Amino acid sequence: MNSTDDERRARRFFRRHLIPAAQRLRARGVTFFPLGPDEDASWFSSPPAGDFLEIGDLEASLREHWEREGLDELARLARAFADLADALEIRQQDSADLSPFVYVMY
Amino acid sequence: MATILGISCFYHDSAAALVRDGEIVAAAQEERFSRKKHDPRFPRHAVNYCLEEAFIEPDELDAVVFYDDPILSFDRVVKSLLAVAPRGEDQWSKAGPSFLGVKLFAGRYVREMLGREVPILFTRHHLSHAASAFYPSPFERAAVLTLDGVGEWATTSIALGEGSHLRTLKEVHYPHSIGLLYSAFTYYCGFKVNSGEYKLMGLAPYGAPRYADRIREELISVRPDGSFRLHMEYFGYLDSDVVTNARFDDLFGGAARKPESRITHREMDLAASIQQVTEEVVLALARHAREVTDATDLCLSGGVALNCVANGVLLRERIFDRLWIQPAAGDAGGALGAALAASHLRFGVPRKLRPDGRDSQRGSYLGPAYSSEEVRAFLDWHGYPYEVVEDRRARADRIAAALDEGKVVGLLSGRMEFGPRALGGRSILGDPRRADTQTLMNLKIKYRESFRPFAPSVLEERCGDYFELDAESPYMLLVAPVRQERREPFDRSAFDAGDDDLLAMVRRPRSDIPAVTHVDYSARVQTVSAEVQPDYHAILEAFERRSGCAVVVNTSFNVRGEPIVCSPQDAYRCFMRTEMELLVLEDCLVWKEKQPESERDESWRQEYELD
Repeated sequence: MNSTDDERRARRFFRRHLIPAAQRLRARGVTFFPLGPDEDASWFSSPPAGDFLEIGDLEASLREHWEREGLDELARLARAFADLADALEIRQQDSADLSPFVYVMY
Repeated sequence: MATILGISCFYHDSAAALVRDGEIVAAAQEERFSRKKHDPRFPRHAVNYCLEEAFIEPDELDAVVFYDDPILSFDRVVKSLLAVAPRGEDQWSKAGPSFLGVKLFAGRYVREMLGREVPILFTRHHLSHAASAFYPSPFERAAVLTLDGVGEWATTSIALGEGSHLRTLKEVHYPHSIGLLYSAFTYYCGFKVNSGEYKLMGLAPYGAPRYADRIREELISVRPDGSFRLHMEYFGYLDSDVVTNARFDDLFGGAARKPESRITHREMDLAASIQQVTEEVVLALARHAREVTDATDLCLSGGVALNCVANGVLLRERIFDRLWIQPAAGDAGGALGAALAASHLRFGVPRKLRPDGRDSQRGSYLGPAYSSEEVRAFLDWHGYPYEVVEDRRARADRIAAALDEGKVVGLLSGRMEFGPRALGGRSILGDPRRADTQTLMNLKIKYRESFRPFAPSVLEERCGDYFELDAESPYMLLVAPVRQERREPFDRSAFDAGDDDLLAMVRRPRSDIPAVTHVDYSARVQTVSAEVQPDYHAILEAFERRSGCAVVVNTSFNVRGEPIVCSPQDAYRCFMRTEMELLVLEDCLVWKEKQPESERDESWRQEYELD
């Protein structure tokens, strides 16, 4: 496996899982963040609860997080995300290069 | 007792820090060891250094703390994609594997490296930043303002620190980010995102804020409480790998400047405009932080806190009585903040303020030091000629004499700095009075020609004689005006009328310390105290005795694209690649003219990519 295989795998995942999930969420009117100003008097939000966490099982952590938010469409993808992460793990660690744009989004 | 290792990595500038009973023992960026600038990889060298500095084995650690929450960060990644899908596939295919294959397994990296089952905790990105600013500060109680690109969902946060406690009060969330707005202009003006922001800030004094109204009207809306929203239709970072988009281009009259191409008045004016808007947002947020916390002091952190021009404006506005800024304000500082947050908030270590009123950052000299014996062993092993001057004052006199003769001096002294600025531990020094110092140091040492002047180091007790600054600035994080009586008039009408020759402009003397005076008569000041930096202070004192000037030029000890040097080996190599004439390695003076010709090395230009 190389980075091209990783990219191909990621693309398959995007089409198979993320696009349908986006469609289902949109169909029930879920939006994740505003894209511009609105009428609210302040645009501050509350910080997340808890200062520290321990992460055990990745799949369980993701599923629990999204279940707490009532996002079953995402909670159901937790296993698929964990499988993809397992398949991609470790090989990336040798790269000293990370696009500066990765930071922009991630 | 609690011994905590903090780690930040996998974005850029990875780092490790070790805190024992709330005291900072060590902190260092991985790039200094790996020699890869902004190295994002797991900081194994920095971790090893921290453990060595503390004389401990991994199983003596009470916890390892990662500086952010990968689950919450991944949540943002997924939701950002879902917001734009089916667009965003290219972005996901490139960045997704990096995130999924690495960042979510941070804990596993730690266990594999340490070879022990050490408790691993994850904390919040902005809490790490806030902790890095509040806990080392000299304040018992303070508001903490964190501004950066993004960490998990937060891009801006206001917190309150009191004694050992630190509590986040409110946040602005992604995609609305003052850091990313500044980065958008950094990219658009042809500089590298995440490292070129400093250049954009330095470019601003050449321009006029002609686009500020357009930015306020079209790109960002700000509420009276300082909270803000970006108008996302002008930005590309949700669904592409470019920060801006075609609408952004149209708004400012064309495509982004190509990197390394000529800088025109458009870029100068854009830089001045985004700088002005950024300062307005920072001031509004600071006023609100003051209101909601009723604190009289303010701590700053996050990458935007490295905008020392905005920091200087904030200080002069006197919204708060005092200001303390974490010198490693970017993500590297998150390692330190994570360790401090865990010490005080999780392990209950009581915070102790220093009785002398100084901060606990120790001048940010938190990296490796090399003893005289180690330096001499290195020089002897290679047969490099040197002379030993053990007496501090005598050594300072020799260095001052070289500076007074116009020589450029490389200085490796004591522990390496933590954070992006060289503060006299790994610095290149020059004479600020000479009109040609800036050009000389740029062309013969840094191998670049820059429109930015160098920064001055000044004796703390003499700062007021040179700069309009009535606060300490030990970390070079405040920009202040050069005193009126030191300024020299210069006519910039031709430049303002359209001549865009930046270098001709910057070469013209503007004060009696021209090498450190910007075109708007400002300077990025480092104050040097005898208590915190005795060796460096002695050099400044000696230079003043000899020349009457209590200021030296201080720039980082590296060439363009290279991380700041760490070891005597790094320093010697850099010295031999440049036209520095004297290298000071602790108490050893190494003169270029006496070094073997065979050690001169021109191959470095292929080694480092441009910054």
